[in-house]
Amino acid sequence: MYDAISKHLFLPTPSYGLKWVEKLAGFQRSQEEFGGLWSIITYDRYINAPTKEQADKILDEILTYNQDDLIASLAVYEWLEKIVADPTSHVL
Amino acid sequence: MNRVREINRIIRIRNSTTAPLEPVGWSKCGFCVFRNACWDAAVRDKDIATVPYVDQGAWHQLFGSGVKNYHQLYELSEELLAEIKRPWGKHRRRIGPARARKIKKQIQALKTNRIIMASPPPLPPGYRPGTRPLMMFDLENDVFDPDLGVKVYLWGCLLVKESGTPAAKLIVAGPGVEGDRQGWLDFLAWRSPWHRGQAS
Ligand code: SF4
Repeated sequence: MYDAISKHLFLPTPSYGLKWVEKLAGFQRSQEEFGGLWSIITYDRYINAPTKEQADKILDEILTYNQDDLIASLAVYEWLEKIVADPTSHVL
Repeated sequence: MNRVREINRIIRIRNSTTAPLEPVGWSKCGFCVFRNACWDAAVRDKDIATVPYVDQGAWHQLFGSGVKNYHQLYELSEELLAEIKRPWGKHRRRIGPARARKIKKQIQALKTNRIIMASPPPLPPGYRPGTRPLMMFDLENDVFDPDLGVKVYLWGCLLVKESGTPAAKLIVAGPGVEGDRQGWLDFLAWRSPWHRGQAS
């Protein structure tokens, strides 16, 4: 999907990463904190959590992040489908 | 030799009283804790480093010549931009016409806040708009801690069928080599609702 976008379109964003393109596709995350770095740090907190309650709470955040990433990818794919179906409606 | 140069660079930065002049860059800043602050400032200033296709060498050459934001960069003709030589490894290399053209188009997209199509984007082979089912994957690995024994710590898969709610499978691997192995096995063992539907 990255190739299909970056090799064929010029986007009004400083990056072609999912976190930027999903905004163009109108996707809104359910969690304020996210990203590769956040996820790695949060995973580290999860495996070192002192209690099961804390571990479960952190696990929820990681799963929500992962689910958001998947739904964001779907939103970007559907956005791309609309561009393919009717290029003039979205692009210059 | 490169290591000595890098250590000297770090010592120089540590001893300096002003912030070093460095462009932001996606791979470079990816895991830096200052990323948000640096990128917010760069985007706010329309820094030329926020223009995809402006590489680090081009940034240094252009910034050093007084071209700091992308409005200024857009003033340069494509031909002139193509001829600018920037550091490239041990040598200097022209930006070249292909990259110059992309930079100009990219800035046009940023300035107008519109998407510009170079050519129609393709969908996966055999797919047309609306073709289902679809599978989305999102896997993440732990780059910080190779001793942990976990290669992939996050396994995500989303199945989108012709109708109904997409079905997601999300797995977070436990610690250690065993956690890593179990994460992979759990992922393989997911018999999605679609597969179950096919079987019945
Ligand atoms: S985010 Fe980090 S790597 Fe990137 S420019 Fe800022 S300090 Fe340097």
